[in-house]
Amino acid sequence: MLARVLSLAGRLPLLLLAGFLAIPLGYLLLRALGGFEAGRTLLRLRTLELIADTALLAVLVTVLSGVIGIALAWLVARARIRFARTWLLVLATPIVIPSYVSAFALIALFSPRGLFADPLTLLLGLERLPPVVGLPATVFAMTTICYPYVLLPTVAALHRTNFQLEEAARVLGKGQSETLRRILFPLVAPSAAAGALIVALYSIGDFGAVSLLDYDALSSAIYARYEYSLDRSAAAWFSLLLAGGALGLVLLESWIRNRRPVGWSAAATLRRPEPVPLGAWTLPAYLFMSLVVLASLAMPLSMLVYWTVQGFRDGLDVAELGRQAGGTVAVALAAGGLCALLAAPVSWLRLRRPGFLIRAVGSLAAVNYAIPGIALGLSLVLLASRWTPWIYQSIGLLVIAYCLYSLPLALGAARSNLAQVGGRLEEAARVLGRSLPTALWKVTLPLARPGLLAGAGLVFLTTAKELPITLLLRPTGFDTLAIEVWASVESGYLGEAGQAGLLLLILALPQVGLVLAGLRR
Amino acid sequence: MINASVQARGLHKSFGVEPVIRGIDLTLAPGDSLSVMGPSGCGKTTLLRLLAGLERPDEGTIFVSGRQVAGPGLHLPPERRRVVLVFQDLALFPHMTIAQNVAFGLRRGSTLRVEDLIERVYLSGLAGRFPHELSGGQRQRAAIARALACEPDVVLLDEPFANLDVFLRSQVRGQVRDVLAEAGVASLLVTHDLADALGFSGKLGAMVRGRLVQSGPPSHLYDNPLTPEVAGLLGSINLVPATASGRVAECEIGRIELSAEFHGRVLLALRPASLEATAEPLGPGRVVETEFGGDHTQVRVQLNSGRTLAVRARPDVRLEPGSSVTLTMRGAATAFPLV
Repeated sequence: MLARVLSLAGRLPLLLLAGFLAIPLGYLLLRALGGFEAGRTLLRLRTLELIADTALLAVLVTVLSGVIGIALAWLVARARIRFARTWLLVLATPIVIPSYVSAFALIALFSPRGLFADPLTLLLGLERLPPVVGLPATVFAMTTICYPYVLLPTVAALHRTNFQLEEAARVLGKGQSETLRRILFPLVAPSAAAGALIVALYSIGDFGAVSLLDYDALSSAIYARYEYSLDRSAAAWFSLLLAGGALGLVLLESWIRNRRPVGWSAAATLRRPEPVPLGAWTLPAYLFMSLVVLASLAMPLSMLVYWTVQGFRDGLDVAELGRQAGGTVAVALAAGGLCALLAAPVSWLRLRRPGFLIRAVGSLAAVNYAIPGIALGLSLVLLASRWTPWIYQSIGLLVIAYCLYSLPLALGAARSNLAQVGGRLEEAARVLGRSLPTALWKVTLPLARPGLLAGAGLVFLTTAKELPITLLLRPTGFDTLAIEVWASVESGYLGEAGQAGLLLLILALPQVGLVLAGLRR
Repeated sequence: MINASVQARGLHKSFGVEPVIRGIDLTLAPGDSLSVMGPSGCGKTTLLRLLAGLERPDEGTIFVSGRQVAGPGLHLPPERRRVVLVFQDLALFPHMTIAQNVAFGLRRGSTLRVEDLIERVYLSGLAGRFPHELSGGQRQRAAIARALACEPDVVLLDEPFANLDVFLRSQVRGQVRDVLAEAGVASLLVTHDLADALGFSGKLGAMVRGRLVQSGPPSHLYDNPLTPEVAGLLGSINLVPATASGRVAECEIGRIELSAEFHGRVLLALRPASLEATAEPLGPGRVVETEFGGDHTQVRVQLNSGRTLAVRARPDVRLEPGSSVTLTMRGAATAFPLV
C-alpha cells in the first residue's frame, strides 16, 4: 500500500508537467468552445478565404522551396561544382534569418521608401512605387529562408544513400536518367518530403513576414482580432484552426518518415561517386546558385548593413539598442536554462524508465512546438488575462511561454546525447557501490552535459529570434531586438530596423556553426 | 577465341600513381566459371569494375561475346555491356520488393518471367517482401535472380558470400553455382576466401598485386605454384632458404627432396602438413608452443637460426614445449629460385 502511494507520489511531478504542457492547446479548445457563437460566425466566406489564402501561401512556398532545395542539393552533392562544400555552407546559411528580416530586406529595397525606389520609378515611368505587399512578396520572402530546410536533409540523404545501388542499376542495363528517376529519387524523396513539411509548417504559421507584407493569412488575422477587436473568441477559433492544420502536417510528416523501409543504412564499402560533369549546364548551374545566394543572403545582409549605416548618420540611440539586446539575451538565456533543467530529468526518465506518462509528456511537448507561435501565445495571453492577472504581462510568463514552445528542442538534444551515454555506465557505478543519485551526479550528468548545453543553445537561438509570442506576452515597455525590427518596419523606421536586425543576426550567428556541425555528420 | 563470353587483353588501371591492375589477360567461354583468389588490395574488385564498365581501363581491350566494349578511345557504359555485377553487399534496392528488384533487371521486350526467376532461386512466396525482411542467404539468391533477369553474357560476383555465416555459406555457394551453371552464363567470382573459391568453381586463378599470376585446376596450383604468394594463397606455408643441386636441396633441417630440378640458392615452400616432428634430444629444433586442434596438433618449432616453422602434427604425437625435435619432410617440396 505504502509502495503504491509512494509510486503515485513519484509520478505526481510528471503528472503536473504533463498538465502544464497541455495548457496551450487545452485552453484554446475551452475558449473556442466557450465562444461557440463566435464559432458560428466563422462559417462565413471571409473565414474560408483566410484558410484558402493561408494554404495557398504554404503550398507555393513549399513547392518552390522543394524544387530549389532539391536542385541545389543535387548540384552540391553530386555535380562537378568547384568549392561545393563552401557553396553548401553559404546556401544553407539563410536558415538563420528570421522571416521579418527577410521581409524587411524586400521593403528596404523595393518599397516607395526603399533604396531602389528612385531608379525603379524612373525605369517603370511611375509616379510612385506600389507598396511591397501581397502574395508574391510574401512567397519570395518566405522561400528565400525556407529552402534550406529541404536542402540540408536532401544533401544528407544523398550522402547517405549507397552509391552502389546506382551502379547496380547501371550494370542491370539502365541508363543514367532512368537510374536517377527510379533509384536515386525514391531513395532521397522521404528526406526531402520531411524537409518540405517543415517548410509547410513554418509558412502556415509565420507571423513576421505575413504581417509586414500585409498578406491576409490566419496568423495576421489572429493578431488583428486580438489587438483591435473585442471578440477574442474569434481569435481563439482562428488559432485552433491553425493549430489543427499544423498538427495535421506533423502527423503527415511522421507517417512519411515511418513508411520508409528500414534496413536503409549505408553500405559497408562506401564508394564516393565521381561528380557528374555538367557540360553545357555548368554556367546556368553557377548562375542559379549565385542568384539564390544573392536573393536569400546577400540582399538581406546588405540591406541590414546599409540601413545600419544610414541609422548611424541619423544618430544611433546606443543605449536604447543596448537595452533591447540585453533584454533579448536575458529572456533567451532564462528560457534556455529552464528548458535544460526540465530536459535533464525528462529525457533521463524517457530512456531509463519508459512508460505511458513520460511518453505523453514528450508528445505534449512536441505538440506545443508544432503549434504556430501566434496561436500558442494567444492561448496563454487569454488565459493569463482572465484567470491569473498577477502574472499577466510579466517577464516570468514570457519565459514560461518560450519554454512551452521550444522545450522539444532541448529534449531532443538531451535525449540523443543520453542515448549515446547508455545505461551501462550508471549500472557500473551502482555495482561499484554508489547510490543512484550519486551515480547520476558523478557519471551521467557530466557525460550528458554536451547534449543539455546544445539543447539550451537551440532554445536560446529560437527564443532570441522569436516574434509573435513576444509580441503578445511581453510586459509593456519591454522590447527585444525582434520586436524592434518588426515594429520599426511597421512604422517605417528602416534605420532602426537595420541596426536591431544586424545585431540580432550577429547574436544568431552561432546557429551557422550548428548547421555546419549537422553537415559534417 | 571469337565466341568467348568475355575476353580481356592487357588491362592496366592506376588510381593516381598507384597501379592497381598491371596487365591482366582473361578469357571465359559461355558456361565457364572461374574463381579468382587474392589477398585484399590485390585489385580483384577493380578487375570486376573494369569488366562491368564502372571504371575505364588505362590500357587494354575488353570484348564481350565478340563485341568490343572497351579499348583505346572506346568505353561502353555499363548498361550497354551485358555484363552484370553482383556486389559484395548485394545492393538490393531497399525501396522495392524482391519481385520489383528482379523486374528492374528485365530488359525491354524480355520474355523472362519474374516468377520463374524467383522460383529458380527458391524464393517463391517471398516475392512481395522487402530486402530487409529476408535472411542473408535469401538476399543473396534474390541478387542472383535480379542479375539473371537482365540476360547477361557474363555474371561477375564480388565476394558475395562474405556476409554470410559459415554454416549457411557452403549451402548458398552451391545453390548459386548450380543456378548459374543452369543458366549457362560465364561467371567470374573474386574472393579472398579459399573455401569460397574452391566451392564455386573447379578453376582457380591466383591474383597478386594486380596480376593474374597463375590459373588452372586448384590441385595444380597447390602442387605447382609459380610463386611463393600463390603457394601461400592455397594454405599456409613455411618459407626456408636452401641450396639446391638437382632434385635435392640442403637447408637448416637437412636434405629435402625437390619436385623439380634447381641449382643454387632457392626458397623452399614447406607445407605444415608435410613436415613431421620427432622428439630427439640433440635435434636441430626446439618446440616453442603446441596447440591442440582436434584432428591435428599445431606445433611451432624454433630452429637454431631463430627461424620458427609451423608443423601440423598428428594428434597422437605428444610434444611438450621445450623438447628438442628433428624435422623431416614427407614427399617433395616446391622450390622457387632466389634472384
